[in-house]
Amino acid sequence: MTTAPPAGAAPRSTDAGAALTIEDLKVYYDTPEGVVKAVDGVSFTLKQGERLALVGESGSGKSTLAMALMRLTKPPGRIAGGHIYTGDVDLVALDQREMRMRRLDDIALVPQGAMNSLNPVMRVDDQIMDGIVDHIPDGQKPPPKAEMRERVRSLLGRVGLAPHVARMFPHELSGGMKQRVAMAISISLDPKVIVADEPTSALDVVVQRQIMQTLGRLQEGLDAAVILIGHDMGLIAQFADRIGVMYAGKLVELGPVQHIFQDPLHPYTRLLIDSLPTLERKKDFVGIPGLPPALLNLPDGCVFHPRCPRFMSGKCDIESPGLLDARPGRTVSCHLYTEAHR
Amino acid sequence: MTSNGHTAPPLLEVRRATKLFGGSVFTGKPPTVALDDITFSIPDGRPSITAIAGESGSGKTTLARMLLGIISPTAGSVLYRGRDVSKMRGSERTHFRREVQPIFQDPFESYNPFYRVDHVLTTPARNFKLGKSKSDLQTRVDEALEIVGLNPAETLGRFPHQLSGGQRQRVMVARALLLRPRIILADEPVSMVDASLRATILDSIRKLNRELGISVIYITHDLTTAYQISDNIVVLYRGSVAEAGSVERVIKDPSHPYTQLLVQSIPQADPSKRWGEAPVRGDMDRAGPATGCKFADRCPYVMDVCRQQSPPLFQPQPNRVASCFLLRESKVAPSPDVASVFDLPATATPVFKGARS
Repeated sequence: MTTAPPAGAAPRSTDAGAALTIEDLKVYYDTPEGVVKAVDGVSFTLKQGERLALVGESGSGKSTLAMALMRLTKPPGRIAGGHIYTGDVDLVALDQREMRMRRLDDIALVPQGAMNSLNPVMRVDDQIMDGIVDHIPDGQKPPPKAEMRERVRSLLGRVGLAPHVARMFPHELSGGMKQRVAMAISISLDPKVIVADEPTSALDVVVQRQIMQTLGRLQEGLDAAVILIGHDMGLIAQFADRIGVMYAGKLVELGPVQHIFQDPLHPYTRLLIDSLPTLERKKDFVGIPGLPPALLNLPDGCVFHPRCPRFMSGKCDIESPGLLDARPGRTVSCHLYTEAHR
Repeated sequence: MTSNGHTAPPLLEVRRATKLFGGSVFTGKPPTVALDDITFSIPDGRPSITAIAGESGSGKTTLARMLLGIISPTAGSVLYRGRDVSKMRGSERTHFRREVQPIFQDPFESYNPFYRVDHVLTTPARNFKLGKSKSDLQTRVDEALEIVGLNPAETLGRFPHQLSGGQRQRVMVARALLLRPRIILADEPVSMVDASLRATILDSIRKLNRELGISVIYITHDLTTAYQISDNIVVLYRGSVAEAGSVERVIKDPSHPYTQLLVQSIPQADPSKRWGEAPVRGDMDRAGPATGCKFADRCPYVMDVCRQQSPPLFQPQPNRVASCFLLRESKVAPSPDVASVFDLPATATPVFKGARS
């Protein structure tokens, strides 16, 4: 395979080891000025137990993609095409009620800013039980109180919280503890896929490390796949197995974390990595020239060409590069590698 | 400034400053100690970049607000050129307000969305009566924008929402620069800006120091950028100085267990340097110990003495002080002013090549 499947391709049977397969996913926003293509034809596969990080600047579409995976896209946004498979089920094709049963059970979200995602007037244990009770099939009785309490206790233990937290309200907890409660909720039904949307963006470095290490241990315990959404390349280098780089709604590069940091293929990825401050030595700052494009008015050809240091006139500004298998296990969307391929 | 520079008072000085918030004499609830006996100064004549680093609750923003004269210390004083900032009135206070310029964290909230970006540049110019004529003022505005790497023609006349976060923050740097300050205090200037745009903002802040001779106080929780742009660093923990000194010394070879914990927790953008599994004890959110070292409850090396006495500032090397009993073999720092051990750039840079008005 040299390019991603074209739009409208028939759903294929998913790989046996795949926890999540995304095919040509499109999320568009209908605005009075026109259609904003926030996610435009993204495809990738996530293996069971794998940690994939999606990185990009604000407006690259990474959070829109995360919300679409949960089928939580809100109007004026809509999933305009593509498929999201967990196992054999296409989440895009499910109705709201069916999707509701899949959330938490198959695919769970660790939200950005847990402080705003918890109900301020519910105790922690009630919030954790809420999801569990909601997923009890119709006609079945909820388990006895004692059993539920034990379950909450064990979930809190797995995220590193003391049992007495169960009877506390969110305002009594620190930012890190709230994020841990949000993680306890997300793993309460042993999901196969965990979507973590900038889970530590408002936390201090020490707490951030603790939270990410807890998330890693939970993921290993469940053998679940994790999609980490973020813009902090440091955090991603620490956590991920693979990185997907998003730019203006498109996945421009995908590959193993070591390879991407050592030898980034896409010029954007290279600039992104070169712009990072390090603790190694003091250096001059290299920013990325120009600005991310307005999604309403995307440039022709490659979306990155106006900022690209390796821009090839007559090629990059005309033809949009497809996603190419440039190296084993690595894909990139750039004409530099189209040439090499021919 | 006198010719030898040493007899002049520091440009800006915090002397034994303590700040308490809240508390009640009726309920007996003790006040929160936001800053606890901090002494720190910015010397005159040798402009440098000093980072003040710490987590939430370390007191770094309280210190910043105190340095700007927005709040007064509960005990101790803040002095500008030897004069108590809280006692300044009239033209003296205006002068102070002009010479110490802030750059705030959020480039979105610093603007009124109904005004063009010119507004944030012309208002201070009018308030401080800058420029002899309209064209003189225009030259200054253009010059300030160019220094921060913005094209005046493409920037002026636009509304804030038409600029990116990075551009907005650079207009804020230009605004500070327009007043030709001696000190710029930047409170987390890049924490809300995308990684790819951070570099340009930090670069323009560094340029202010290197080329224009402005002293910069860089307040941050991010030790990586602190290391990159600063000459010296002060690490705060629960309102006290944990460690301070040359940034090379403190970040590359931290001696206080808290600084070590912070440095080890930095997510380095290098998959071959992953976090260790070093255990972290406790949580910053809990109230700290009432007596002794404030880090004692989380410190992996805690000793009996740490729970009984507050450690003084020890000076294990000429360019570093740290408040930790592990260093008790070293001499106690002779001055409470942590800046007395700072490595300063060798030569004094002239403040603005042109004449100051």
